[in-house]
Amino acid sequence: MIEGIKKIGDYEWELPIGFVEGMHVPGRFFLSEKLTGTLEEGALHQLANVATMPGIIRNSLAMPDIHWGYGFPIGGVAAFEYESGVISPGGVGFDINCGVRLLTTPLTPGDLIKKKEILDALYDAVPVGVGARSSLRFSEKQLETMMTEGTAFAVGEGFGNKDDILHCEEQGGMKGAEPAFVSKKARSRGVPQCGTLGAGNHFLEIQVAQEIYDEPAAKAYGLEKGQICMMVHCGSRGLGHQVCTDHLQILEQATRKYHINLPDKQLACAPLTSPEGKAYYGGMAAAANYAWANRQIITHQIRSVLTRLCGIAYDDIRLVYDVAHNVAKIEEHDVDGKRTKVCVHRKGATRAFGPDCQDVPPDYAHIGQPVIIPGSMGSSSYLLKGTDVAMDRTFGSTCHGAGRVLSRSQAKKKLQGKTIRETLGRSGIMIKAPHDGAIAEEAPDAYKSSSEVVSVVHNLGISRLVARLEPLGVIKG
Amino acid sequence: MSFEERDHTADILMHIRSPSLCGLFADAGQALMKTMYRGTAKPVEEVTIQITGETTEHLLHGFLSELLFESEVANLVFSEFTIIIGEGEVSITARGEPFNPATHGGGTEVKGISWYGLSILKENNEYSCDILFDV
Repeated sequence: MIEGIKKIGDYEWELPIGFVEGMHVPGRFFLSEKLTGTLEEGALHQLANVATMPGIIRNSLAMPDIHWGYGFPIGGVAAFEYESGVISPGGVGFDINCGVRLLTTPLTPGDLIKKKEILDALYDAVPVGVGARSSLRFSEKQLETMMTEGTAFAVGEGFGNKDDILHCEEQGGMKGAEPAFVSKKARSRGVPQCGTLGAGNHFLEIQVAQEIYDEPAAKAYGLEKGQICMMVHCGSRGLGHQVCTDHLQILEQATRKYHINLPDKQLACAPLTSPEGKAYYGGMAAAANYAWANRQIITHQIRSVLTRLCGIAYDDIRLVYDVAHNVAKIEEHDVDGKRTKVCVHRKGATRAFGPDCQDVPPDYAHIGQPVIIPGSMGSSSYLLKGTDVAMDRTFGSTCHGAGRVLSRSQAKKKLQGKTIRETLGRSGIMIKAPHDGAIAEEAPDAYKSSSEVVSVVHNLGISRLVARLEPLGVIKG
Repeated sequence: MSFEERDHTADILMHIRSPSLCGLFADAGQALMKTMYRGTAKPVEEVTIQITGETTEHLLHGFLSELLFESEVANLVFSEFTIIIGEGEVSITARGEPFNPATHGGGTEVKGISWYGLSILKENNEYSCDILFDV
């Protein structure tokens, strides 16, 4: 066990002030005993580094999928006072609003006789991998509206229906988006990539709802055992990546201007109320809206393929929910018994708002927000629900995935893409990817057990299990 | 060319070494291209990149960020770099060929160049640094 950390509960550990110099608050992370072997010193240092940032409230937090990233650790959550705190791209990442959405269909596994044909058609309809370009071309004016409205823009252009808007976090459009703070360079990266999946851990999966743990919640979310579902995992593509790059440069200078001492340049930040902080927030929100539009356009492509090949109605493919897991948001939370305006950074963490919270769709208000946790390729994904415990303890946040345990180079050395493809094929999981190397990098063995990670958040109560989904077909970027 | 991938759980961490600063920049450019693309690229097209910055690390970070941008937007795979470093500025001529999925596809998409751990060292007449690519 790494020296200096203290176990303070069944699944709760503390990183005391002093672990690195200048910490304002302790770090706190959530892990089962079984997962402690996956804990990396580099990730703990990053968790401690976040605790040195001005205006941080209560704790620098990390979810059980914590792993070594840059700036914040992956799985990191931190809330900052609005008036005295800061905002940092290091707490969001380059892929602004990387997120996940879950769709249900009226199909069952028996209806997937043409699974290969469906997978091939999806692969053709949704461009994937490095260098992939979209066949769609939006004008400058359309891009501007996309960055302001997000999902609503895509639906307005015919890429979905109005219910889709309601079933997205922030209704698929963050307020405060300022396209003026998105550079020409970011726009030129974004235009040809709108409607593309990307690469790395991004995926599109055909799944089956294998197990229901919470019938009332599953019913409210419109999910039944044995139902075929579709999951999409991607983000804001080159537009968001460039917004991060551009603003990092500005915020690196702002860090010095505002005399903020940081142990890692990637944590470059500025006061939330400063011109630099506001500019980053506006640009980041615009990129987040682009990401929601992107996932909406991909949803339309999925619906078009399934309508054509499976003979089901477009509107019978229903969006359960869409979550962002790389974002900073202005929210209100109870802090020391007082409703307080804060900026919550979630980097590789999912919002998990409980029942009757603001922004939970009216049809889910009595249950809480759906929380979608994607598995790694070939492993289970989970649907959970947000809770009051999360509101009290983690600023309404939970984990975002399984969390890596092997680097990409280790995975490629240890695992063969072709073997993984064949092994998963024998289990009935079909894979399509531009290259076998991409399969090896993202193999299930490169990740922690997704079931162990979700069992920690379930047992802690910061989100509760609703259903388990198993992959049947995977498209990797 | 001297770069090697080191273990990093989430992203790609490259360790670059060169006897000269210009060589370090060129090798860092190669490391980025080899992460993103497979195969080789003929030097048939070129772009010029100008970066200004307060420190050598700023110049290197700026160069790699710009190279990533040029590669993605111009759809070019670069294979050769001519680097001229001046006081607070660097000029790069990058040469390569258009991306071809058949010969260059199958690489890893790089989202951005991180500042995490970026520090250029000079020891025993050798320059070195670690650079983290977010993928």
